[in-house]
Amino acid sequence: MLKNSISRPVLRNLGVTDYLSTWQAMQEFTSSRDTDTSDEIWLTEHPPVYTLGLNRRGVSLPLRSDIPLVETDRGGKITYHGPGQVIVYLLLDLNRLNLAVKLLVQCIENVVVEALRNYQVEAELIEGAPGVYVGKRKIASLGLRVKRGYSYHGFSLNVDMDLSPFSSIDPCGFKGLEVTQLRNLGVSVATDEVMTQLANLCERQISFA
Amino acid sequence: MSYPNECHYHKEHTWLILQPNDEALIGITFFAQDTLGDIVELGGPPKGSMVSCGVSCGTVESRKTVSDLISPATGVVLEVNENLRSEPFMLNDDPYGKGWIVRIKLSNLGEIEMLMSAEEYRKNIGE
Repeated sequence: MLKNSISRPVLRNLGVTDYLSTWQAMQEFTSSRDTDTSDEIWLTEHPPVYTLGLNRRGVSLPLRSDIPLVETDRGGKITYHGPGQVIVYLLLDLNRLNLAVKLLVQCIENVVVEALRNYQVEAELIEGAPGVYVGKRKIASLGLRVKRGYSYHGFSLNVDMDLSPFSSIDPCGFKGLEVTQLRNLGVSVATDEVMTQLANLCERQISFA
Repeated sequence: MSYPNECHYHKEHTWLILQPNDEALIGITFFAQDTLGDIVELGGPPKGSMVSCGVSCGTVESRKTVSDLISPATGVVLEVNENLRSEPFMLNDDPYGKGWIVRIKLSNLGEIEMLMSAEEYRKNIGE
């Protein structure tokens, strides 16, 4: 098959969605897709929720009980999602894109670094600690699941949110890791605008053309 | 890339090596570990469990990504490579040796004929 026969991904801005129902929708989409199904990029925000990946070794659970905890099926350990954090879910056919899992992870990190650069924020990657950091503080997290060569889940970027729920977990299993967001870095921008930018950068980095 | 001739290969990037008494070792291929990157955790099938050819029998977690482990054959798990709990990187460093995942008792020897040779597998992954 010719590489250029891959159609561009379908972009869907879902608005604010419940974590569980969106996760379920991703699983359903992935289990029912076939080699002709277009890739999709879903953009959303979730109400406050802690999510725990499959690798639970050494994870301490959050102390606060006012925020629900969902045991999910992605890679990575524990994280927090809440309003004002942009979430990008990547539903991709990795075989068709000829994209190795480790390269997808790199693509995601590059997308976030480039997006931040557009807001004059210099971000960095830290060896052995996936995600994207600004001055040693984490600003973006990622976690993926691959089934039959199809990816789901994706990444999140903190834009303008209440960061306090992060303080009762060790994000991604790293003790004492601090988090930050665009607003704290002096960037005032709407989540919708960040979503559009991230989606466009994903399209370019992942080269569907 | 290395693909030993003694292995039988499944298209979902797992291998099988036949042993005496209808037993076999199972692991992931060089291609699998290379595309996944550094493996940090293996969620393999427990001892005594049944695995089925072409069906997920566990998970492999690389840097931030969980992928399915697809069994290349049907059988019962006789032994699990416990070293991989503390040394999951053996799946990267020595995928056909110290990175073996489980030893199984084969239920259906006929399945082996459906698996690929090293040469066929190389073609399949576009080498």
